[in-house]
Amino acid sequence: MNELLVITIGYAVSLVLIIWLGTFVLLKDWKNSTNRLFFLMCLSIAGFQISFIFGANTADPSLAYWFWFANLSDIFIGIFYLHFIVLALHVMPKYKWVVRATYVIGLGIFAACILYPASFLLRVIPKMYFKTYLDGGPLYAVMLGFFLLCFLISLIIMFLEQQKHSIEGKRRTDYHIFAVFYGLATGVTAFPLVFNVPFNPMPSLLVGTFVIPMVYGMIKKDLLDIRIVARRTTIFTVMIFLITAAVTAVSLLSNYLSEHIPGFSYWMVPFLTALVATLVGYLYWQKSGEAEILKYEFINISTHKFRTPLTRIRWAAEAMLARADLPKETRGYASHIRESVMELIHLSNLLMNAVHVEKELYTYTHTNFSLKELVENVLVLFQTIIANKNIKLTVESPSNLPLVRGDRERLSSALHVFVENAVNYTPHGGNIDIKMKGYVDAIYLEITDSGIGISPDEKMHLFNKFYRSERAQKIDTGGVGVGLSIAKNIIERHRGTVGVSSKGTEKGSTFWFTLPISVK
Amino acid sequence: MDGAINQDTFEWLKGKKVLIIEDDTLLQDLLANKLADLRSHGLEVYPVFDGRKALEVTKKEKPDIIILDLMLPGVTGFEFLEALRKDEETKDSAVIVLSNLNQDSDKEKAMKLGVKEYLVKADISLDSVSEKIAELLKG
Repeated sequence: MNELLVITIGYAVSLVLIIWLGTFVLLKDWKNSTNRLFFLMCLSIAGFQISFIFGANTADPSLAYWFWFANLSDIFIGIFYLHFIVLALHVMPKYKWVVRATYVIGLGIFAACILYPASFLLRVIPKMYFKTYLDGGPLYAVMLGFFLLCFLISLIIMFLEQQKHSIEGKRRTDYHIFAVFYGLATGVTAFPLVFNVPFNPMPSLLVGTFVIPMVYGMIKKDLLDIRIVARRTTIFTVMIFLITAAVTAVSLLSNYLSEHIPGFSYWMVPFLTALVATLVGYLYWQKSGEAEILKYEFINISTHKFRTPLTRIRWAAEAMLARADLPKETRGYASHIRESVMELIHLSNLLMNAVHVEKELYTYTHTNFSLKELVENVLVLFQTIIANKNIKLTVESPSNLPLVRGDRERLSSALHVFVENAVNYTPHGGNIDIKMKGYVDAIYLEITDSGIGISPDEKMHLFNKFYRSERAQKIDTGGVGVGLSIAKNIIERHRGTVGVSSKGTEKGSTFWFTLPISVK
Repeated sequence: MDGAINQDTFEWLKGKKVLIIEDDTLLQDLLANKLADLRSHGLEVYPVFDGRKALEVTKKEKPDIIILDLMLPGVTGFEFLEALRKDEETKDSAVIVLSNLNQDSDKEKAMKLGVKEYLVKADISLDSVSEKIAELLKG
């Protein structure tokens, strides 16, 4: 097995992943400075990977020397990473001197390496299976020390600040902590050989995957447990191994065929493989896209078509009820018709909202408002049913709760869903507790009920559109299972996060969401 | 609604005109019946079923308020609104949209064309519609 080929392809796959994730995060919100720093950090990692790929495969020492010299980009990985963590944790005012010092020291080391290249990189010589590998000088050791120190300081900041964050912030920090350990465990394996310690740098080809948990921490809104993120990172790692293996196989096959079949060009196998892979990917993407479009079109058209007959029924029932001479029995029937049609209109609105929210057809109008007031306004709508069911309701909120910035109407709909669910699934005489808290990064709200609870299986699907658990259907037969999905979408459009916890069936549940404090 | 209109102060209704542009005959009838009280005090109601005819009636009768459905056969509600605003004689007419189109983009488009209110039919009661009309007529 050609180890140089494997590590080269592995690094190349990792490089593509890094550039793709960096660009993806940047395009997601390029105005956000955290995203821009993440992108810069990815570029720095890409610089290191390119340095490695070209350096390792270049036999000419004078050319390889300058390829390996680009290892200097490690300085910027450290700087940008530390700056990124401080921004992501919303603690810039507290640590701005640390960040500034990092830039000054980092750039100082960079300048020293440029001025005294021979102290940074002594020479490049063949080592292990590499055509050339670098022999690090004292400045390389200084750079490496600085690089590791940046990660160490970042870790200390994360541990110190994590406790001051909301559940969401804590979990996001978990992702970053996991990423550091994962990145260091893989990435540092490239360095012993620099100082002639005979350690195979092969695991360092996985260094690109360490940004996966970071991306989860930044953009993924499902607050996944860190174990799930770890599992997914492992899956990506295995995928990189598989892709590396596949590309290596293609490469070896090309070699074999071009040597044994006259006129067979080396590029034909990779070209045909790439063509087939692209075609399969495109067909799959198109197929899944069509199904989505059809689903939304169906809901959109049917709900729109329903609305005119629903209006006719509603207004006709109202016209009947307005007549003073209506016999008592007929009035009762007309009243039932009106109530039922109102229910249908409500369901049709829910379905339509689900489509509009999903397709992002809503225009969001952002204002500053009090979440506490919003809660009070929503609770007024449930006063009667809460009294009828004799539910004990408590609302807790600190007096200094910061204002929320968002679309009041949409957030009111989201809150309505959570309160409605709590009221519907809490038995007669039960409790509903609403708590609000302010954190440095977010405003947090939780609604705890003493209702039917949620099993681990149900929890997996709870926020999926049209999902209704069997137990929920027995209690509330009128729902369609889109409320939580809409609420989640609305909160996420505000850069917030939604979650649920429950000790199990019949043990109540806590739905919570966070709305970030807007960063100026 | 009946309570909202003070019997002693109906003078302001005399000679006022409302044009209802709605292609659904049942909804037209229900609205017209709902406005019967106001009609008995002098309000004139003009029911029209399509946009083309609506333009003619608007020019001729100069209604104080136009109740407009957006999904109409032939000339749509939006086309009617655009034509209304282009014409010197009718450009300042007060319009209430009463439609089942409820996307934000439709609402924004209608608002840009200067409508006074945008009401979603399925979401509003007959009482509320007639209250809105009375409110706007009273100024």
